[in-house]
Amino acid sequence: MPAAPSAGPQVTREDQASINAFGRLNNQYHEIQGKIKAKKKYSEDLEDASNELMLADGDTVKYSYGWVFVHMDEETADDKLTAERDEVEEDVTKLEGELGDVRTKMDELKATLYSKFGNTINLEE
Amino acid sequence: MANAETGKMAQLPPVQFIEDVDVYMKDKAADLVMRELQEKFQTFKLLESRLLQSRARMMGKVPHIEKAIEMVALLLEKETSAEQITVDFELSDQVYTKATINKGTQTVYLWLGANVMVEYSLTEAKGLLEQNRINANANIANHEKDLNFVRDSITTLEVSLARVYNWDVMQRAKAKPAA
Repeated sequence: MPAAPSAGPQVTREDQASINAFGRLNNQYHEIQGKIKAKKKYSEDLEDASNELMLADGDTVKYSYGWVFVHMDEETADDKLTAERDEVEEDVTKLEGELGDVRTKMDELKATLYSKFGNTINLEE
Repeated sequence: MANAETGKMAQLPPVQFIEDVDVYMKDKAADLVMRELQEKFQTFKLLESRLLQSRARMMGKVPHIEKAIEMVALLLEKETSAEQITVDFELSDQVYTKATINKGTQTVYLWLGANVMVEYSLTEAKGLLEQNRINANANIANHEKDLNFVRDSITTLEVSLARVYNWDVMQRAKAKPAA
């Protein structure tokens, strides 16, 4: 077949698979980002609550538990808050690790695809 | 597309990858092929949004289950303790009242739906709720598999559309100087 003018490189099945993989990773990336944002917000809220507790004057604390508020003393509440925050922070660290992995894979795919297709392909994020 | 990766989407025909546009387009009209691809694209897009919706619905349920688990865990914690638990309990929107949970409470009532509540021992309740959470998460994971399949199809279709379009442009460019 005669080479058509400005015919870009042919897309092979392998390329298609890479493009699909990139699409998936890109989705994952945004989802993980969203999760991290929510967790960080929650962690900040917990910190605010801890700070409020420090200002409280030893009264019973009403701790939101499921659908009710449980009455407990300040110390127990503080312990619970700290435990909860440690857990959330751990989750965030884990998610950030995942995010990094996804990013690395995306960068690899990007490098391969851009080196083959140059500016005829646009891998948006 | 690997079949093992698809959940209940397996009945859906996977999108064909066009190996060679020249061969594929032989004796075919570009605009017809484009329309066909567009139609498939729309179908998959619709499917994607449905899957996203039902996944969001399921994801919304998980915190609900977790709240219940939290509560049962608290009851378990206090099961053997001598103190009773005092709570502020929501009677209706924005209206709370104080309630006390008897010390040594050993059973809890779980709402099973259809206006049915069943009494469970605390450990049983915890087990059931945790199983519910596992099921919900498994369901979400299944949805994710389906979503991946649908998204791959969408991406493949997008690429195919672009390739057929470019092929057509090139055909026209070739035809021009000849005319």
